[in-house]
Amino acid sequence: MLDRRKALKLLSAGAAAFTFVSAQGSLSSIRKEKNKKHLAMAIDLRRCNGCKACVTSCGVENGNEPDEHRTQVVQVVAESGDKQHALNLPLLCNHCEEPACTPLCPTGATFKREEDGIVVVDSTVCVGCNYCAMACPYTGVRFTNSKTSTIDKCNFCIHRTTRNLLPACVESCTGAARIFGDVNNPDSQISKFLDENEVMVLQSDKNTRPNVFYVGLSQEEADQPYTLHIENTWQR
Amino acid sequence: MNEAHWGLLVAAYLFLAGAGAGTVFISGYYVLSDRIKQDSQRQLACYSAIAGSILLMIGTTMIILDLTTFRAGIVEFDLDKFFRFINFFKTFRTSSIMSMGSWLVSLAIGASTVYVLAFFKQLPFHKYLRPLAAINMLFAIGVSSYTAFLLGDITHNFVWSSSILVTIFMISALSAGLAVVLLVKTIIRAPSEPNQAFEKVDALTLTLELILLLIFTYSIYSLSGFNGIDFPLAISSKAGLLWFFGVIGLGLLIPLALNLKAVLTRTALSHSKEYLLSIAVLTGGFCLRYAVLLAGQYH
Ligand code: SF4
Ligand code: SF4
Ligand code: SF4
Repeated sequence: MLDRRKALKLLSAGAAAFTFVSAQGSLSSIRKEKNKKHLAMAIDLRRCNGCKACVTSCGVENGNEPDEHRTQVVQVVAESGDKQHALNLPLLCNHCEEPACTPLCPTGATFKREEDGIVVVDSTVCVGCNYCAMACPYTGVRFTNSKTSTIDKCNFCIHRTTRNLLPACVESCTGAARIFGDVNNPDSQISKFLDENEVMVLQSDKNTRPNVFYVGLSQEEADQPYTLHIENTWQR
Repeated sequence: MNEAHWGLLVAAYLFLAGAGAGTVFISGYYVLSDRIKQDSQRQLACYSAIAGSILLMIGTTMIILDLTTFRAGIVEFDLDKFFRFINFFKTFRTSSIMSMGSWLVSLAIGASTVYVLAFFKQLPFHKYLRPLAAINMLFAIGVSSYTAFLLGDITHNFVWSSSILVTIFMISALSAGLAVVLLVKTIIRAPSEPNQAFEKVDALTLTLELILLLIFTYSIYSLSGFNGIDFPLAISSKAGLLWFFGVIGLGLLIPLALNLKAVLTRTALSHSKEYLLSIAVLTGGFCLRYAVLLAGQYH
């Protein structure tokens, strides 16, 4: 049995620990503003086969260098009680409702868009101070883009999604594990998916209220502190 | 994976801004306490103000050098990236400590420059030397505490958000300021204070700092245990080595021993010991910022 203390110890050994907690409460608060467009992503862990097509297509779509990723898929071992699960965990910016990153930015280069909730970085304004990357409690979702020399991160493929196209990672997902759309549109695929499933978010104790929802762990498992032991860092 | 990382340049910024503020603070104290009626003390206050001002400027240069856009601007001969740091001053964001701090440090540099000029009797604002000293002391308090708030605002980081860090950085800025003033005093061969007054104040500051550092060390030790994370200041890590040898050993215990010996034997420190003491305190002050930065990046 892996208790919280032992579980978090894995962190110091180069592993990363996350706590999965049910996100139903946070989801219902997000969906209160019925008429407002609210983009989000759901990731069905049961369907992710770890092929990393999303990682590659994201890099190609957004022109990032091969070792600079807006999304990653990490192979993890999740332990809860005496159960162990091996799973592929896709990670990206959570486009949080209460981002830890944006208020701290000294230039206003990174902000949350009013119209759809996407958290963006304006690379023509960012000075590259890295304060936002330090502020984000989700290690590794912000990185320095060596072409722009500024901070970069997932922007929900804004150039595609504002034209009603799907994000590159969603479109290329071979297991159809990534689902994207407006959670306030009851007819959207993501709305139906979120209605039908028990969803969880990463590190809910950080109070950032993520907009990337995960499905694939049972409620019983999710209610326990969950540890994801990441053995290897990601490669494309 | 291209991880963002705060290292030497940010540590140098935090240290130099603190040391500069501490030095200007002590210079201001000399002016307000009327010590500058003596020519040698006036010279000391003036040179200390110059030193403090320069330290603030070098510190600010360090943080600009750390900006990825500035470095790229130099390497790629790209003027847009080179001058991108101006964006700090196109806005004032109360939600961002870094934004407020950028303005604060810039104003402090401006204020300290005017203060330095006010030492010259020929210049019109000479008559405002005292109010300028007071204003600069306030800026010094602001700048030295800002360097800790900058880290403390990252609330999910249990090392950086430790509430005691603000007091530690402020006391450390004061002891670094005392070290710079001592260095200036030794260089210009100003006479020592009577009754080892300087050594007594320095010893008191260092003792207080030592106590606070021990409390901080213990609180980080217990918090890391609570969170199930290895002690980020463990002696086996780079941060721990810097902490125990650089900060506590070199930066506090050695200078404290030198000061106490001078106080107890009622003998003034020799010039070589004054140099040693100042350099040890300043090195310790730098190690303090660097160790805290490294310890906070425990991921
Ligand atoms: S995941 Fe991190 S970078 Fe993304 S919005 Fe949340 S706090 Fe900001
Ligand atoms: S790196 Fe850029 S986006 Fe991040 S806090 Fe600094 S200026 Fe803002
Ligand atoms: S939404 Fe776009 S930018 Fe974000 S991870 Fe997917 S492909 Fe990359």
